[in-house]
Amino acid sequence: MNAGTYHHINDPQTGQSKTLNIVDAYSTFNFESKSDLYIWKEFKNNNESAFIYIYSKYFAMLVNYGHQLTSESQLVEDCIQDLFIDLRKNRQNLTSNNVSIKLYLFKALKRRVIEVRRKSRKIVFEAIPPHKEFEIEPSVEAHLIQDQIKEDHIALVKNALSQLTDRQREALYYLYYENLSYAEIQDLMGMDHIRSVRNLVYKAVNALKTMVKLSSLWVGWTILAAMPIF
Amino acid sequence: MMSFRKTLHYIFKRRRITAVDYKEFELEDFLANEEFVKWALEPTPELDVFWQKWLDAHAEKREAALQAKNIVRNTKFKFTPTSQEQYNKVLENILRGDYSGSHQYVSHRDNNNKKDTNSGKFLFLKLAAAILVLAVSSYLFFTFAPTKQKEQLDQVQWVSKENPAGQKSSFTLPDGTFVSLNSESRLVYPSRFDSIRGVTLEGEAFFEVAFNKDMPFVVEAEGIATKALGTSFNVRAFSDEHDVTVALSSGKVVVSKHDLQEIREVYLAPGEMAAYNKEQRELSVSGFSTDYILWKDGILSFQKAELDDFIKIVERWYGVEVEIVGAPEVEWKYNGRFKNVTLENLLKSISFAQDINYKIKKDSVQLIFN
Repeated sequence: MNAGTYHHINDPQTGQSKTLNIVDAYSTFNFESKSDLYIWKEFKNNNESAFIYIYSKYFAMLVNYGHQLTSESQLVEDCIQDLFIDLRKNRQNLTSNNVSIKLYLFKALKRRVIEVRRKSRKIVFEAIPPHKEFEIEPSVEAHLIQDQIKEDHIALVKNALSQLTDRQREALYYLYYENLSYAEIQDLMGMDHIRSVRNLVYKAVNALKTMVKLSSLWVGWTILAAMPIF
Repeated sequence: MMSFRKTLHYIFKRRRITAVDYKEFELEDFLANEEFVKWALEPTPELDVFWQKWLDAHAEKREAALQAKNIVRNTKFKFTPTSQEQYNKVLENILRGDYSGSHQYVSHRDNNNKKDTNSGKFLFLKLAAAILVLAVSSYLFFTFAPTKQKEQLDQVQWVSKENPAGQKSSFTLPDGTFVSLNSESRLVYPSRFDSIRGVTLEGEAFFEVAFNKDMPFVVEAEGIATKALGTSFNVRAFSDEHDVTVALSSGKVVVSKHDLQEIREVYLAPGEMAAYNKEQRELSVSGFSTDYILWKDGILSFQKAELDDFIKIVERWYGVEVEIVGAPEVEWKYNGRFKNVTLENLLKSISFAQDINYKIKKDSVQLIFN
């Protein structure tokens, strides 16, 4: 690890050759304890390590999120790739004030996936299996117990879950899976008022409540919780 | 008479998140509250302090809160894994500035869709830098690729431990719980426990549950569920018996039967046993003698055993078939305890007590009454 080793790469904006110090690459480790604002500012300042750090931290998360929006794997990969190329190319023009890189990337990916899907729609003659956005699956434990429950119970649970609309499931995904705040969800779903998000969540949650009541799995697990063991 | 403003305030009160409102919280309010959800998913020290205090102060809300916590944690979405190859490939393309085929569909203000202008020059050096960066960032990939929280469903293996008649076994579960499994019994459990420790039992087992206050241990058997944190208890659920029983040795468990019509649950103290009658679907509590769980220590015990009971016990314990020749003169009410006894010695003792002869064949036993 010779600090004097340099490599030449092309600057993404100007096309000019510039040098990347080998030490820069290893300094990505320094970003782990820093705030999003700091990392973003470094990135805007042409710090390549910051860019790599952002990519490595959010790549897998973006793949997972992308697959909630569409089942076309190649499309998801393409959009993530193009998104990062654009980021790197246009970094000077991007906002300085980025408190949540995750939210920023999620918004960008969602926008891009929607636009590409819309514009690239081709007529396909073979049957495509219907893709359910933000599909909910019962948990591992549910699978264990489902073997014991009668068929009609399972059907009731599935029916209750299917009452959720795409938007409701999407809201729950951000709230329960990605652990986003209401403000972030409002931004991501493009809603005018934060209370619209809350209403959406309440509707979704009431459907979940029904599932709780109908499914003996949930009744079985949760009724047992009256012991003071929280 | 409430003014218009006050009425409006009252209607929206439930939707506004203030500390005061929490005491009116029902299940759906917990589920929709971002502070609660954050705590359910990732309990930081600050959130912990707040919510533990609050729950201590509102014990009647505990059940709804725990229910909400379970729902939040157990509502899973489809997980799509990524690979090192994919990560590397995409990064390489990014550093080269090579857009994908999908890029044409995205509108740009400056309409700069063309590839990197200097794609020919310095290509070798660009690739060299890219490889360098890849080598370093592959460490970061492993740091950040989600494995802990969002596991794929089908990565968990189901483990099934089974004993035929004539065999007993004992083993440890992934959390350290020690299980003694009786003959003609089967226990199914996942290779990894997630937010709840759930196992399914057919037959009989004695559980010495490892203590974990965040993950309840639940045994599901023939229509009832037994939940504990760290205790020792016996569950008996043979398909050919009319009762399912749970006998508690130490600690605390709650036994519940779940069907759509009615929820009935029973808390047990050490020395108590819950019995669930499968036909009548009734749950009741009684005591039990220590003889009941001696099987796990290899002690064969008979308590006022009638001939039919005796036969069934012997068949299960030794894995043999028992044939009867003749009939007993007096009704059987046999009491006895044997530790690690062979079939031969058992029958020898019985023959003295009950005045019978016996013949041991390969897989069967004949009891001959005079």
